[in-house]
Amino acid sequence: MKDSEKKFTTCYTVLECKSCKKSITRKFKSGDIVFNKIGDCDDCNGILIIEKIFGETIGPE
Amino acid sequence: MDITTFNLDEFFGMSDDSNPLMMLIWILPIILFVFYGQRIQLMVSSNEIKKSIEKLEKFQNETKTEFIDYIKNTLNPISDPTKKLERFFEYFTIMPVDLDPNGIIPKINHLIHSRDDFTRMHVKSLFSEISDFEVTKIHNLLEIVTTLQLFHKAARHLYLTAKKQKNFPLILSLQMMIPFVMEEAEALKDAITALKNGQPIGDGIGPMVVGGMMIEKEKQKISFQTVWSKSEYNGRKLLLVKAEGPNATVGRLGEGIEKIITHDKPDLMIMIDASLKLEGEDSASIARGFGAAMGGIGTDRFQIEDVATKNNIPILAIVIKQSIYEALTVMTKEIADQASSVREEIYDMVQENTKENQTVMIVGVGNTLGVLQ
Repeated sequence: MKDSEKKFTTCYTVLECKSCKKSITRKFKSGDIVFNKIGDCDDCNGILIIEKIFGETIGPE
Repeated sequence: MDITTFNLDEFFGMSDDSNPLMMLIWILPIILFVFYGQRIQLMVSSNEIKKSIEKLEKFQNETKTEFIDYIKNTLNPISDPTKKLERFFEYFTIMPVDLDPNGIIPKINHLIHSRDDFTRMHVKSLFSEISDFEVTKIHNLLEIVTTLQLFHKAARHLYLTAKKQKNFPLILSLQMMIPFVMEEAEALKDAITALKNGQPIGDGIGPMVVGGMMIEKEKQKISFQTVWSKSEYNGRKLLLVKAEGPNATVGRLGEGIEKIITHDKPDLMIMIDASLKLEGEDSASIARGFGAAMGGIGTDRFQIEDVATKNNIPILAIVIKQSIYEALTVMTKEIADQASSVREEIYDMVQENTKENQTVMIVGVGNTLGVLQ
């Protein structure tokens, strides 16, 4: 298969603070699970949870 | 063109002053197409099918290698699992006799459950220690490899049979079916990455919607790999049901719902699932409807419909449209973004269709890989 025919998917994780609703998008890390609590918000010390995980595909339709 | 001056002999190159070579150029293809037209078309069509079959074989070999490498390099099996896994790839399922379909559902249920239990037991035996999460992932990966192998074998069988028998209609039907098979095969091949990494797939939108409503609520196990919670909305009691995340499983929703209804009868049931979009429909669009939204073999849907009918519970459905590729591979941004809109639709539905103090059961249908609750 030529490189031009290949699909490349990059996966992202969206974190959201339950208190201030601040949202951060970063690249997916192994062990990320939707609705998992992963720490505290830097701004308000609220609970930061993984709101969604999604992939973006580049390549032929 | 003046047809009164048209000369047939001249047209076919048969007039005296014509070139015999020109005559041959005209006549030969006609003879060729009259007697061998179908065979030529068979050759052209079968060539295209052959390319697709080669692609299927490549998918099958690639996924097999990727799967075995994943087990060997990531999960530390007790010994080399290749031989045992190769044997698994060849397993088949014989569906119960349906000459008398009465009572066939419990038979199918028993067959599918015992097949799953057997596979899980053998997967576990490959390792000294393995989490349930990994077992469900391996179970799904195994199904992908087996399905791709089945696609390849079935397509090759039909192709070789058609060639052997010079059976043009068989080639035609195969030519019609192969694009659908290839679409699903490509989706299955690319699903491997999401499964290995534990990333949510498009089909997981139903459990994601309901899982979001279950956060910080007390969760209880109701049937195998199935959980439920109680919640409340505007004076209505909500019973939330989904497969147990983050496992790669669809749970046993039929069994779970049947159990819940025996002691907590809802006045309305709302089911949320991913649905295959029709060509031309927008991906991630939301549609409302009636009836049990649930794919698969049909046994769980049967159980849910049965218990709903016996208890006179209306079933409403919300589906999130997507292609087969989107349903089986890592969830797209468009689908993930719809989770909050679907939750709002659910609350609207609850408000519009029930009164205070009534109970609504909300079921998230689909593979809950990478989605907690």
